[in-house]
Amino acid sequence: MGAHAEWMDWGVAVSDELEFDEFYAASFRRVVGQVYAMTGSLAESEDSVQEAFARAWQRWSLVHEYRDPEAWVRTVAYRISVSSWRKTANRLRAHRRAEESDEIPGMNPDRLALMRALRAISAEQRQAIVLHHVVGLSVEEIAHEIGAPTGTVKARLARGRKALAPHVSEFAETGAADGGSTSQTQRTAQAAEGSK
Amino acid sequence: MPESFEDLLTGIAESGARAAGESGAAAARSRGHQRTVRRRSAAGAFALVLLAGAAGIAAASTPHGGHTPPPLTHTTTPGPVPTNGPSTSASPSPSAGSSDSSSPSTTQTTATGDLNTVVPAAWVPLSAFPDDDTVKWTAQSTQPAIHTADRQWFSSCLDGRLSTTGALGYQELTATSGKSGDTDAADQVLFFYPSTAAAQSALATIAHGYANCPKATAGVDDKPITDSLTQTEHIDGAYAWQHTYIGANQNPDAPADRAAFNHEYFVQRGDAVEMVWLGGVSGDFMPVNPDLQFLAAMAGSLCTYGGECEPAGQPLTTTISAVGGTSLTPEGPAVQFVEFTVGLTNNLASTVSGIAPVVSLSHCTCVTGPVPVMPAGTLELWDAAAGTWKSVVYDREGSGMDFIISTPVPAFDLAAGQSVSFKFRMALSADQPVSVHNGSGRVNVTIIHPANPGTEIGDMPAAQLPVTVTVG
Repeated sequence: MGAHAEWMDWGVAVSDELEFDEFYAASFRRVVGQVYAMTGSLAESEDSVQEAFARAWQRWSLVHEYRDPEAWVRTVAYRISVSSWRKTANRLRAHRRAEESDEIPGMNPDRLALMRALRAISAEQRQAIVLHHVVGLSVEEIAHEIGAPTGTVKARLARGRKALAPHVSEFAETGAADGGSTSQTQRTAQAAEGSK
Repeated sequence: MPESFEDLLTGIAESGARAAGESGAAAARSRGHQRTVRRRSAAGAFALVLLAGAAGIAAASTPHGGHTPPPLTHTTTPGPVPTNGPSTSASPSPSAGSSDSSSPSTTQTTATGDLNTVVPAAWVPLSAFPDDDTVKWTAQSTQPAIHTADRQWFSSCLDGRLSTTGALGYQELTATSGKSGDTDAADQVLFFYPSTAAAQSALATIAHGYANCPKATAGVDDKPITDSLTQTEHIDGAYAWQHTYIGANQNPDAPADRAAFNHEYFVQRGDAVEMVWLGGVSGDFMPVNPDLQFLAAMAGSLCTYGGECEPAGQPLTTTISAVGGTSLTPEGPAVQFVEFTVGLTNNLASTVSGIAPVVSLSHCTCVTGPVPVMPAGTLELWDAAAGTWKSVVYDREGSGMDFIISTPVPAFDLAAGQSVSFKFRMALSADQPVSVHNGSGRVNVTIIHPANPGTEIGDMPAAQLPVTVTVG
């Protein structure tokens, strides 16, 4: 009785489980990959995304109504992860939950070099770059997702590219331009158009 | 053809997605459900504390002040009487007497840890954390967080080598400096293990890691760093280390992901291992001298989960007492000695290793000058085996801290409850290079680890004997 009462009191119907599980199965790995690109730590990404899904389940009655629940999970996971990143970056050194190496076996040298270069820029810049170049969001969409003005997003993209310029030949001539680089979405759209 | 930036970045994300380990939706639901229940339990406990406070129960103070709630009651049983035999290496001088009359009052508990239950009594309050009286450690949450992830890796060194200690999970409470503009931070973590043996093995793994940290290493930004690592203290089942990262300019320097100064404490009791980490851009806030007391305090709390408890209070008692008069004179046909005894007692249930007293002579009002060091003289230690006095270093305090390095006896171990004493005598030389007049000074005793020079244990001085200087 107690468990059932608590379950119902929690405000989640048993049928929600299926919906949540499908959402998890469809999104978990993708979000981990995105957060990994933002943070550089696969273990932290796994943990933060799992934690974000746990929080999503806590308030599933609200989250599943959102237009893009995956964006909510990604944002929460990023905040958890970057908090952990900052904790590690600033102070925590004696213990940490991480793989033997944060570098995924089999990754080619170019990707490894880019991962290392990404570590040298700020977490906010990494987030903006990944949301733009991997997730394919526009500046406005990024601004909406992270809750920052579009000018801030543009500045983070521009500064991130500038910082990466020594490591990425494509950015070598990047100045203070805003999101001028072709996003994944745009490229996908262009490719789709080209195939018509 | 090389990949474009977006292809590279997308490839990284896809690699991460492919390599991701799924804990599963059911685990996420379970974690979310547990947190909701735990939050409700915490809210209930908080309400109970408020009720207790209203009833005046909170007026009963506990030894655990600071941020932690009052300790929970746990069953304790009288512990074994510590071994108090004379330490085999504790007799650097045959004159050293030892006794075992002061057995520390300790207990040994047999409780076991539950990762999902926070036991306030097991936590050392932040108010007891080492600081420099300007850093007021401030908890970042009202309750420790419980981490149940299956991966628990540990890194003792900066080189990134990680070892798994087999922890079931950990409870963690982080703190920051309450000093405005200060980035210093503290982290208190209780790791839980399946058994006492597993926890002991974990501590051994951690200690082994520290013992083998390479000096030359690099931060995650590939910045060359020299790791200056010192084990500052050690008692049974407990260690303290201090890491300082030195950059190419030979000054303390922080790699991108680490603090320049790191002070780390580990204690194992029962099936738990506690870590306290202090870190910051400056080492000023983390004095080493309270390390022995802090390790004992950690053990005194963590023994909630089993093992030997350590008593509260000062770990070592240091005394100095005159055998006769305390007046010195630099003139006259007969040398006038001041004879005194230095005593040292280990109040802990653990052996304190590698210690020795520094017997130093304070500044003296009998000398005029910018640095009024004690007039020249001699200090001798009674050699009971030979039946003679033996000359030892006449250690005068000047303008620096050099005096804290010299000890009249080699380092020795002091077993639990053991006392040791040394008999000295001092005299002033008849010929003084400076003018001496009537005045006063002190004979100071400070306890140090000679292997870690320049660092005192506890107060400096730990004991003192006033002496007078009379001329004419």
